[in-house]
Amino acid sequence: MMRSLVRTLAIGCAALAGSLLSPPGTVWAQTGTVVGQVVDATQQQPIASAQVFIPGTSLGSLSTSEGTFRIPGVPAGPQTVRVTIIGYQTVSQDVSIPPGGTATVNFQLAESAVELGAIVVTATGREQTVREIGSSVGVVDVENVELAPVTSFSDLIQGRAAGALVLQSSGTTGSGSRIRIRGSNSISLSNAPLLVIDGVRVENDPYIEALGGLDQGPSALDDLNPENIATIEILRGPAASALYGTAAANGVIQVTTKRGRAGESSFRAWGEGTALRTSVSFPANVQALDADGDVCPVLYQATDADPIQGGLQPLCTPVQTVSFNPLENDQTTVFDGGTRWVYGASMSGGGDNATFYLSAERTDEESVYDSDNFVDRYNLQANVTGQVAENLRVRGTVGYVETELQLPQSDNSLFGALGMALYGDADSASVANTDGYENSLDFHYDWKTLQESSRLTASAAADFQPTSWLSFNGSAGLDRIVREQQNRIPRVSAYQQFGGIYESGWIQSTDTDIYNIDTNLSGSAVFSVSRDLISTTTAGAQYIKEEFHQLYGFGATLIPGVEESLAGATTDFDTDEGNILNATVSAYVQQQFAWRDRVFINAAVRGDENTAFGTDIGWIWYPAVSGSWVLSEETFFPEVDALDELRVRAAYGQAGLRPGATDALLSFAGGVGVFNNLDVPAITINELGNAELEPERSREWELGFESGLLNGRLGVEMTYYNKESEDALIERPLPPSPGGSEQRWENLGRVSNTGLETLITGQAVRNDDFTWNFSLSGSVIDNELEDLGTDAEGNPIPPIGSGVQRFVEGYPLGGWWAPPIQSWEDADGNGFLGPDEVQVGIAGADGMLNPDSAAFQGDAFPTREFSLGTDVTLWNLFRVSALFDYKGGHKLLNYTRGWRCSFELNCADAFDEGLPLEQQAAIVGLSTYGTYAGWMEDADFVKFRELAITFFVPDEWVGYARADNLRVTLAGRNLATWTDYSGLDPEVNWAGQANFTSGDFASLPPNRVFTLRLDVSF
Amino acid sequence: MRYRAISSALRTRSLRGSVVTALALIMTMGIGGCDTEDLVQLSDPDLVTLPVVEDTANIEVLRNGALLEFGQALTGPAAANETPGIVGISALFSDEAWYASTFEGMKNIDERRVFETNEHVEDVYRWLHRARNLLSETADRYAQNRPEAPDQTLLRALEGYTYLYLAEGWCSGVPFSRAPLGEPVEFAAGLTTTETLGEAIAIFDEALALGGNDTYANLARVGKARALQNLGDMTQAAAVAAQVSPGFQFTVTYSDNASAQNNGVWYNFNSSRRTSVASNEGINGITYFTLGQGNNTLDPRVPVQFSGTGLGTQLPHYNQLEYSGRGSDVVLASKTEALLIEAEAALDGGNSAGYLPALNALRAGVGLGSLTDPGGADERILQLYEERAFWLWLTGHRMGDLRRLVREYGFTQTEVFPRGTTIFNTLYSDDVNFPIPDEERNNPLFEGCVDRGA
Repeated sequence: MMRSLVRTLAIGCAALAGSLLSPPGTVWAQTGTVVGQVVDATQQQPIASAQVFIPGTSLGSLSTSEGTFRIPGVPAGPQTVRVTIIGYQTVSQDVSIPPGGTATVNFQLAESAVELGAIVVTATGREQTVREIGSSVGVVDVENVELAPVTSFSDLIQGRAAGALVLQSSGTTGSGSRIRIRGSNSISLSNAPLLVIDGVRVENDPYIEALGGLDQGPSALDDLNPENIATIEILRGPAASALYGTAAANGVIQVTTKRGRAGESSFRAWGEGTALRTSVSFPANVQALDADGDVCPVLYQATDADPIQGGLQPLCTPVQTVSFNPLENDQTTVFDGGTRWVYGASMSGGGDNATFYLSAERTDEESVYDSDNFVDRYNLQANVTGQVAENLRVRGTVGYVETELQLPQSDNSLFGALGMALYGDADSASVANTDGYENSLDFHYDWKTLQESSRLTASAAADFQPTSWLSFNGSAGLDRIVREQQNRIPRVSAYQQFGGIYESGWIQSTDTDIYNIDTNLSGSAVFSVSRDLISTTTAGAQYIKEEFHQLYGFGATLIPGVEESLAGATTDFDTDEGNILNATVSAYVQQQFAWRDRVFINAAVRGDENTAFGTDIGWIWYPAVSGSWVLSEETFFPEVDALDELRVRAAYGQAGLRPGATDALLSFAGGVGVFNNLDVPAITINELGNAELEPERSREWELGFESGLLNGRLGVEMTYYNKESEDALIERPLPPSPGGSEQRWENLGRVSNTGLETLITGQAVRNDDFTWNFSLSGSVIDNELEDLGTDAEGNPIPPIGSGVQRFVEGYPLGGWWAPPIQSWEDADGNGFLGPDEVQVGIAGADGMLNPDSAAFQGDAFPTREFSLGTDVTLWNLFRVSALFDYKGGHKLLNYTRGWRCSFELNCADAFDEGLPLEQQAAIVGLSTYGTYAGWMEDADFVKFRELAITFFVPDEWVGYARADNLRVTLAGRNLATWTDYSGLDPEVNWAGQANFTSGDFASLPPNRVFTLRLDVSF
Repeated sequence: MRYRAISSALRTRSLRGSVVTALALIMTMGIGGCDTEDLVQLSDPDLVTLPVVEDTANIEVLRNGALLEFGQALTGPAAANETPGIVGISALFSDEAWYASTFEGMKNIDERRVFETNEHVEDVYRWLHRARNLLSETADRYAQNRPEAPDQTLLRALEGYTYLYLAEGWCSGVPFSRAPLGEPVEFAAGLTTTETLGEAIAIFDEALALGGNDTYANLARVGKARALQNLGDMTQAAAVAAQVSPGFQFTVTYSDNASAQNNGVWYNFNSSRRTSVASNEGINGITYFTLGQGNNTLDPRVPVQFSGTGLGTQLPHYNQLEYSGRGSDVVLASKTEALLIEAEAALDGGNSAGYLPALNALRAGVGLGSLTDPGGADERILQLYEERAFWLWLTGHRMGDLRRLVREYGFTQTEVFPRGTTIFNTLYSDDVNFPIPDEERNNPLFEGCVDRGA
């Protein structure tokens, strides 16, 4: 019956749509044009890129570089014109529009450290100011991005948005970063945020599949060229992102690319050269040798405790110590410094009816390695906007990225140069034979991992306003990624010594095609309920289709001369094909009531239906409600000189994460078997499936405020949030004994994230000769797996994971776990701890230590992060900016040093007779009992992340070159690190962008870079 | 006041606004009411679903899958970083192999320090259960749809071998749950090792009762005899072994065709050089071959070749040549094994004069000289087990043999298992079997190992 009803209602929808097909020009009665200029109230300088618009309509424009604007098609009669731009207070003015005529209105904007006027594009396609939204929206300041040492999207976010944690995993050229917003919600699904570019949902998975086992790989985020970005908004959680529905539980990053501005065309060109250097000193390999020249550790050496052999026997007697540092030796190091060259140009302009923005950039980076580790990327962007009719505005964006990348073996790879160096021997034979590396460096050079990627992201959108109170927004977008990846070892290589498939080379080729489309249609109606109350209703629908298609081929024994193509393979063939398909159809309604333009109540609900084989999840609904109150505009608000603006807000919302399309399904895998010595097709169990699967649902509420203090010089923003994810989709390990699949997706348990975010911005000094701005942002978070639930029989689900990172009730997701080192004692008084002088594990019921029982050691992700950014401008000629970045409250597993000291026996500590017993216990704990407890180290750090000095060439000089502006910037990145972590760098992660897996395993620290940049505009 | 201007401009339109608001709502609900399922219904060409499996026309494809699972459990998948099956890890745990590469879990197996969290042991434990379940499910389908096909005997016999491997490798207390295709999982409590071997015998008897194929029946006979041998019932074991046809040999077949069909022991040992065959390992280890460069093979039953160092280490590595190529087959059961069981039964029955001729007859077949009686009872049994070690080298027997020497013949673990200092300069521990992996704790009826003894 319900379905029948809604079908009937749908007919009404069709009728409405029909009415919209009438010629747009006939709907308007009479219109006029608004023109004017926006200037800084203090300096009387024009303000460019300010949003000037008619509230309650979709009519608006951006101010030009001269601060001027023009809005045609405004309904005649009394209207309000509002101007808003980040860094200034929002101002509105009433104006009367003459029919067919032009009204002039000029604005003088006072500066503000509170960003209530920033425009945010919502999931419905409608624009709202921050003051209207009851949730916290992080607006990343990209205004001066070209003046900072920022070359990737990850760089841009890092330290610039509270609650958005950016973890750079490596200094390997082409590697990406992990981004988490308000912590990790999901044990098994991705915790990466949803990425929306110009209103289109786009791919955000790391490009690491099929990289030959390499864990460092590029991030989809880094396809974005920071130069093309106009705004970045971060919706931190379900309270803000509910209207994005399923897939939005991890927050949403909304990116809007630059648009052209009406007025004289402007042309800009830039170029920069960057030197990349390793940012650390590498440790030497130290070893003791016995009389035979064999490695003989002074400490911790194993002894034969077998009674038949007659008690403890030392294995060897050291007679000399040798040392060699292959990475700091000019003759043997693999580091020769890297370079990055960036060249780009953009052009923008247009008239009243159309604007354009065009941009092109090339980035060519060679890594600090002396091997072929490089990225060569071309970015093209073309955006147009057009006023097709008075009430119809269209815009189109096209972004194209082509990337060629080659990655080295690294981190947890046997033949990564860094690993081979750090685990190498120091004896003269090893130095002579392999330059002190663990194996021949030829391994490092012979293995090639390449990726060529082309990505087209395009959108077309239209805003249609048949009447002044009714508007429609429609958009369609495409995100197409084509990737070719290849791993190969040539016919003649160091690998020949292994025989088998390595003997005469092999090649692995993977072609991936990702095709995502996103269409959205919404309508908004604005009307007045009473004199003080304005209602805005938005309703819409969305359809998203995602297709992933991959072909894989492998072959070995290459034909001489055909070693870069599968055509050269002659044995060991293997092929495969993978397809992942998903579609989502959605409907949503949002209702806003605005009372006296200072109290805003929003309520919304979104429904999603997804592709799901083997289950009938049906429609899932995600509600949201929020309120915003600009208290300082109330008449009762006390006039306090120091307090200019105050807004309080509260929000609640839900969002979800969906299961994979086939996760619910019992499925089988096809393969090839052997029967009667014939190759035959075979079927085996793939997944047992779970027909009861539902999306994971996250509920979040938040409270916060923004305040402007000291005449707009100081802004304080604070938000407290509490997010709970229920019915968590967990890939639960199945017991092996049934003989089915290894895991099965189940809705289990509850994860909570609570935290506090703050942002303090200020203008310490501002006058004609000297300005000093600062920004302090930070957040703390408490992440906990509150409940893992029970199985069908009511038994508690056992902890998930048995390695060094586990998911245990009452502890953070993916926290560090290891058998604890309970005690140590130098019982024989020789100054060294032997295996029997260290006690590891947890006592069982019998009082005996179980060396396999693990205890919680610490968080794997930072629980607090703060960043301090500041900039000083002198005489409008020089600008100096700096960014400091702190992350802490977590630990990092130092595999690198643990392995060196406990297994490879080549770290200096292993031969330090004065080494504290606690550190000796860590070495013995790992070498004898296999526990990493002693190597899970505090990883708090402060990084001097950015320093940039810009010289604004005076106008009179610039005039000689017939340019408008010329800027020269000298910048550095990752200039210093302060930490107690004993490894190379506390920021690295051998597992790249993995969901939880972390650790320092011969990982190259982020590079120190120095950039010289020239930026000129005409 | 600014808001008043907005309000006055819009107030007169409130009625129209209400109508449009309602229509907008209608639009949304209308979309919700459309047959949206059509929009989200997609076709995934990769999926093999239950109806395909249940189609009796595909029963042989399912059989092939069960055999593929068994072959993988035996040697592991031929892929980078994979575990070399029960043949590989039991060789590592015993004196047949040492680890020559970098994975800690594999080192721990070699050191006989195996925790519940050892991922390599978990791999093989899971593969054996996967093979067991699919062999059983497929045999059931043959019984229903193709009762006359000899394949059912083969499937049952191989199912019995999965019980044998789990009994010989793991502690007492292994559960045998089921995952019926298309039905809910049926969890089971653990069985003692004795119960497990009893189950194996029952399954071999079921296979033998089906009859129809001598090869498959002999496969079941050798399996049954091996189970009885593990139970210490050498008389019955010998009686069953005596029924095995002369010249019988059953091999699990692999192929050069695709990597999925390759012999995983060859891949792990020879191609990846992660695991090396061993000689004189851990004081008690048998001298299978000479160490160092040169002609390493001492005995034609243990063909080896020095190959340099292991993958990523400076540890010495020797290639095994038992499986010289990626498509080499593995002998699962043979008349030779049956004769060795008979010889052991003779010695066990006090017929010290009877076992030696049996061993020497086998040796003569490959041109080896005769052995002499070493005298004492312990020496005789060790001599016989050394012969078994050579004849059954790298076929997944040695670990069970060492356990049996402790369990049935009273040796201590330090007298037969590798001990002292490992090749990594660490100490051997004292495990004599694998613990049941901690993932099994997701089985609500599982209660852990009942006994970690031999």
